[in-house]
Amino acid sequence: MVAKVFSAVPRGVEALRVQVEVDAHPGSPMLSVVGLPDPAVREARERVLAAIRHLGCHLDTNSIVVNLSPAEERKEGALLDLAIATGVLMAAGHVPGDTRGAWLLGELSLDGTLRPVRGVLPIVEAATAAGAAVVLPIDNVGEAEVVRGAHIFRASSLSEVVRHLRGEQLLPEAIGGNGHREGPPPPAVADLSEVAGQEHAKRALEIAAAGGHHLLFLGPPGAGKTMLAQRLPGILPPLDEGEALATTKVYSVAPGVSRPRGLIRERPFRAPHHTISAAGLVGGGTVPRPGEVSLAHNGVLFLDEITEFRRRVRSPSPPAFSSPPPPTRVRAATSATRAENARARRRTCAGTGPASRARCSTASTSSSRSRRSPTGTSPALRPVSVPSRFASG
Amino acid sequence: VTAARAVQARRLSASGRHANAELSPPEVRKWCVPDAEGERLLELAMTKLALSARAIHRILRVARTIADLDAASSLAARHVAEAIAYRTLDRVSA
Repeated sequence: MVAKVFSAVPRGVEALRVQVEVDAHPGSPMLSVVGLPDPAVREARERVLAAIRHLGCHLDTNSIVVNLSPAEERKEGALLDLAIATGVLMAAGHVPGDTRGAWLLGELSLDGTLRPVRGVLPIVEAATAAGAAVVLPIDNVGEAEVVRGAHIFRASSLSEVVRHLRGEQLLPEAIGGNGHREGPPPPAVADLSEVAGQEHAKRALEIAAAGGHHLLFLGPPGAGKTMLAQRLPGILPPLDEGEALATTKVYSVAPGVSRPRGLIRERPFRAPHHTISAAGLVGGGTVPRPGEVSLAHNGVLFLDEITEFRRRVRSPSPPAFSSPPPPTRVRAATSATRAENARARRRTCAGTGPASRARCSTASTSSSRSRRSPTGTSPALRPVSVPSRFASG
Repeated sequence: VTAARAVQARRLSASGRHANAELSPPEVRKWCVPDAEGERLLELAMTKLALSARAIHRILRVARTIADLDAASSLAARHVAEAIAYRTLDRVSA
């Protein structure tokens, strides 16, 4: 028989629903996964088979094919493990074949324990919009509960899911959005009052914070450009609910940052080092992942020593900002602009800008660069009479 | 800052955007109209400094923010002047 189970994979900061179809028929024992799985998904077969063995179920007389539909979309990551395992058990007749349209997510360890996965928040949001319940590893519940109206079942192992489906012991369930679960308290941010003098620059920071404008500090070393820029988050208003959700989504998906435990309430401050690659800054990849620009969404992207950033990272027209599909439509493209605005000129400059969504196109900044270049090419590191100079864009 | 943001949020409440930096060109024309004195300053800056139309819009957005911080409903010359100053500081002293 063919068993069908729903799951999903993250797609940028959206979700792609995946239907896992499993066909089992008598034959030489084998399990193959089709439907453009990446290595992590293909290896799911080993994890799934081991986890099922630990349940005490035997599949050895079955030849099994798993199809991940839509078949033409590439799937990445281990979060389909649970759905595949459940589908296999259904197809083999070990569990009744009805998940009531719920989306199953989770990575399986060999003994059947469920491990947390990345990108749960956008998936739960999509499932909730589609009216489906979700089954999640316990460690992912915190971020999932952020979604208003989400219907969440939490499981710690494959055997719990199996017992639930057999009706032996039901999984604990929860509805998301009841009193938003808060993340850890925000770390104390540096305060603008710690900066002595530089009233003019503080005024500029205030304007940039109030209007969401870009900002470029120029000045000799030690004038306080970095110090000032680092204090920008402290004077930004708190995130409203929509902004907090959007920012949390990025952190849910992004590799290399800690998984959100709840709604992120403080504005992000990202200060990538100037040796960063173009992909690291704007994101990208065959399966698009967010870069620093997206991680600074609704917060501050601070590009210290902006002239030191690699050309390909800074310049708008060659590969960096135009060709790879940006992970999140406008988001990458726009904040890229910010990087652009803050770029160029002197060694001592520090660029910064609040990364709320702006709309200037990257093309527009390229022309501003060429227009400004006469001043921009003057010798670097010339001492200037004013303590710090800045321009806003 | 919070008060200025609140003003902006009211202005943009229908659009789902938050800040002056996100104003579109038609919105700039609608909300960022300077008074006569400001207009004169702007024109002067445009010719003297060879500013582009986009630069003008950017200046107007910043001027709108400065006015919001001032809790002023219209753009006065001093708001425009300050915005121009930020735009051109690097050029004047370079």
